[in-house]
Amino acid sequence: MDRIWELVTRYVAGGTVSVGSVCAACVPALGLDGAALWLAKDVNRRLLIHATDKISGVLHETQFTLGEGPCVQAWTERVMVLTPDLAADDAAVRWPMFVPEALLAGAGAVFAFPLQVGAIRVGVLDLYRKRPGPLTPAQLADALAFTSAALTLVLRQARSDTDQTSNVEQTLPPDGLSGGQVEVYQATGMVAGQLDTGLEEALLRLRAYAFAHAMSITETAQLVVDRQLRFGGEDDD
Amino acid sequence: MSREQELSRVFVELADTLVADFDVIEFLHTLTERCADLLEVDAAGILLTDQQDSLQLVAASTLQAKQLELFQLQSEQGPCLDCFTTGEPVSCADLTAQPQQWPRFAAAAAEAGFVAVHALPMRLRERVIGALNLFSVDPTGLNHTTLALGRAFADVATIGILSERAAREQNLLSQQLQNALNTRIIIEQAKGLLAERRDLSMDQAFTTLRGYARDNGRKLTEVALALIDGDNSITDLTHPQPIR
Repeated sequence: MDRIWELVTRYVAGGTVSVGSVCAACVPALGLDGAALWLAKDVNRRLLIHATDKISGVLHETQFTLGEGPCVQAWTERVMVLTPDLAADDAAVRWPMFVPEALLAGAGAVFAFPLQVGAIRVGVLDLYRKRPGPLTPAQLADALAFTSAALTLVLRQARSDTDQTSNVEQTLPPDGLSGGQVEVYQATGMVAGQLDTGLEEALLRLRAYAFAHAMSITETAQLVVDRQLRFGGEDDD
Repeated sequence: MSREQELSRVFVELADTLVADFDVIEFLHTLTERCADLLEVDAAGILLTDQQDSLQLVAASTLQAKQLELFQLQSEQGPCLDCFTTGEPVSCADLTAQPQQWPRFAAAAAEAGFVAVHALPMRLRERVIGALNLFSVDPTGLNHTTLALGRAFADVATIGILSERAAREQNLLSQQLQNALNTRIIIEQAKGLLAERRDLSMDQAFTTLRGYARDNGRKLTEVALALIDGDNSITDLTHPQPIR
């Protein structure tokens, strides 16, 4: 994961690390031809954050115009969708309208990765390559790491727009989101119940509390799971 | 019922759940419970690797087994980790014996009440995707028959996680693993929500969620998502009717 942040930081060369720059940095790092990253509340209310080239933009638009394609499927089914060869038979069976358009646009292979933590979904990273062929295991691992980096940034940005910093170390303390921190997931559910809100909001509140009290999110989550900390009324801190 | 009959019944039961649209976490939990019933051990757990090769706990038959598995992952030491790293079975019939190969693990095992541990790799050809771990409260080695059965269970667990298609292609394998782990997270989130709504412990919340899914013939993950989405179809889960 550290290596991924290093790649992103080097890519922005001292500038601000954003979700868009993670998207842009992954293309040369993975040796692909383009990427698009969009965020959404639901599949019909989405926002294209970044597209690295024209073809990426076209692939994105086409999928949402037609309502089908790898990234639509990645979102709805909460799974990564890897299509190493768009010209192969099964792709056209899965997405009869999208595939001819994608081939015409110049894509040979498309890989879609949902930005998600369990039931929390915030968007999809959509990668393409002109030439067909599968991702190597190393490329796949990197693609997942870039997806996780983008997710971390999205959740962080949503927490506080005033917390602007270009320092990656400061922006990204280890928070156990991608690790096996079971209590964080459980506490997210509990806080959602306490606040009667969605999981995404609950996770943001957990992170905000941890940040404000100089604790790790794991420590905070443990307090919630142990029922020593409740998020209730207006002023739970 | 003889042990053989019982075994074939269990394998049929597990095979029956291996339909196209099955629930991987529910399946693995059932499998750990059946292991504990049939292999003359007291508990079982399953660890699974993700794309970054870090191990995660996906199922355990008891709370004690779960805690011991988590301890291993946190302390990065123990027979189940060795099994995963080497891809070979690792057995310790008596953790209290000297010299101690895994001192921290042995102490944690003693606290959880376990004396013997056996770890069997879950393999797909050259790749190790996880480990099936068996725990006993008494010092016990595994005899040849039990070991063979344990391996059969590890294979069934592997097949359960991977579709036949996945076995042919590296990337599909990773998709299935990632999917299994994400499903596990969804269930943890739902457990938290249910624990809060009904004032239950996490384990009670899991049992309730699982019981509800079974009683209503629905998938565990589907029930978990319905709960998270505030779906009206499961209001009787969050607000159970008082027994009249």
